[in-house]
Amino acid sequence: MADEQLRQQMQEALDGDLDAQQLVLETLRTKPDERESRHWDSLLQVDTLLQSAPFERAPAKMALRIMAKITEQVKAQPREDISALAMTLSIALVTVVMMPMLMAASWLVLNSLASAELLSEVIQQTVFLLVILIETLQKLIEESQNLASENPEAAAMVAALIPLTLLGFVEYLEELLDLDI
Amino acid sequence: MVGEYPEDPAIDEQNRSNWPDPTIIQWVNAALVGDQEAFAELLYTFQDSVYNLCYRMLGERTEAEDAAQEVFLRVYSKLDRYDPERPFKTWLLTIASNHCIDRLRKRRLTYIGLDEPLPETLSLSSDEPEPEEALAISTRSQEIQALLDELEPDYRMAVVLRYWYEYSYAEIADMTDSTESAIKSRLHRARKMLAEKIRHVPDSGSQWSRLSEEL
Repeated sequence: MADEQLRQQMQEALDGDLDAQQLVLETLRTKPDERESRHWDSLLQVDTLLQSAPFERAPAKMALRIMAKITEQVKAQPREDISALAMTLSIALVTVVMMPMLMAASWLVLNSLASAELLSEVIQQTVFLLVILIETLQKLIEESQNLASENPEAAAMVAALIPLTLLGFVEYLEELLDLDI
Repeated sequence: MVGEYPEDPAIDEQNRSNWPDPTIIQWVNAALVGDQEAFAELLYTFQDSVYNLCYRMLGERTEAEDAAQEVFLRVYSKLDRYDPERPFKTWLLTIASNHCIDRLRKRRLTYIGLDEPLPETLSLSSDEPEPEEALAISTRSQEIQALLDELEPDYRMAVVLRYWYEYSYAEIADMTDSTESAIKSRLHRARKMLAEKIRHVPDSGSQWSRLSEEL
C-alpha cells in the first residue's frame, strides 16, 4: 500500500519545499521501500525533464502573417460600417413610415380570413414583394461595399438608394392596398 | 488611455517587478489609437511565448500557429479591455490558454491507456536541414511533447504554465479561473500520471534515463 503522506511530501518537495525534500530523503534512507524509491525516482525524472524542456520559438514569418491579417481587418472595417449604418437607418425610416400601412394591411388580412382564396392571394403577393425587396436591397449593399474602397462618394450615393428603395416599396404597397397614408 | 507607471518610492523592488513594463504600456496606448507598428512591437515581443503555449497545449505546429494567430487577432480587437494593473504577458497568455482549451474541447482526443505504449516520436516536417544540435533539441522537445499529450487539457495547462512560464499556483488559478488548491491538485496528479507512464512503458527506463542523463 502506497504511503500517501510520503507521496504528498514528495510532491511538496518538487514544488520547492526544502523541508519536505529533506523529510523525503531522510525517510527513504531510514525506512527503505523499493516501491516508494522507484516512485520518487520517476517523479524526479518527470520534474527534471519538464524543467529542462525547450521553449518553442514561433515560425519565422508568423508575425508578418498576423500583421497582414490585422491590416486586412482594419481595411474591411469602413465597408462594414457603411453597410451596417445604411441598413440601420433604412430600417428605422421604413418602420416609422410603414407602421400605419402595416396596421391597415393587418386589418385587410383579418378581413380576408373569411375567404381562404383571398387570404392565400394576399399572403402570396406579400411574400413575392418581400423577396423582390430583399434581393434589391442585397444588390445595393453589395454594390456600396464594392465601391467603398475605390470611390467612397459613389458608395455613399448607392447606400442612399437603400432608404429610397424602401420608400418606393412603401408607396407601391399603398397603391396595391389602395390606402392613403 | 491605459494607466501610467507609478512613481511612488514606497513601492519596494519586489512589487515593482510585478508592475507592467512602461514600454509595453506605451505600445498598448499607441495601438489603441490605431498605431499598427506599436501592435507589431507587442507581437514580436510576445509571439514566442504565445506560440510555445499553443504548441505545448495543442501538440501540433500548424495548429499552434493557427491558434497563435487567432489569439493575437483577439488581443487586437480586445485591447481596450486590457487592465494595466496586470502584466500584459499574463493577460495575453490567459487569452491564449482559454483559446487552446476551447480548441481541445472541440477536437476529439484519444488518451492512451496505461497498458498501451507511448506514441512514437513525431517527425519534423521541414524543408531546411537543421544543425545537429538544433535537431537534438528538437527531438527532445518532441519527446517531452509526447509526454504532455498524455494529459487532459486542464492538467496539461497547469503543467505548461508552471514549468514553462514559472507562474505560481495563485497566478495559474487566476488565469484559469480556478482555485489555488485545484491547480496544486492538478499539477500533483499530472506528475503522478506521467511518472506512472514512464514506469509502465517497456524499456522506458532507457529512453527517459537517456533524456535525464543528457540534461
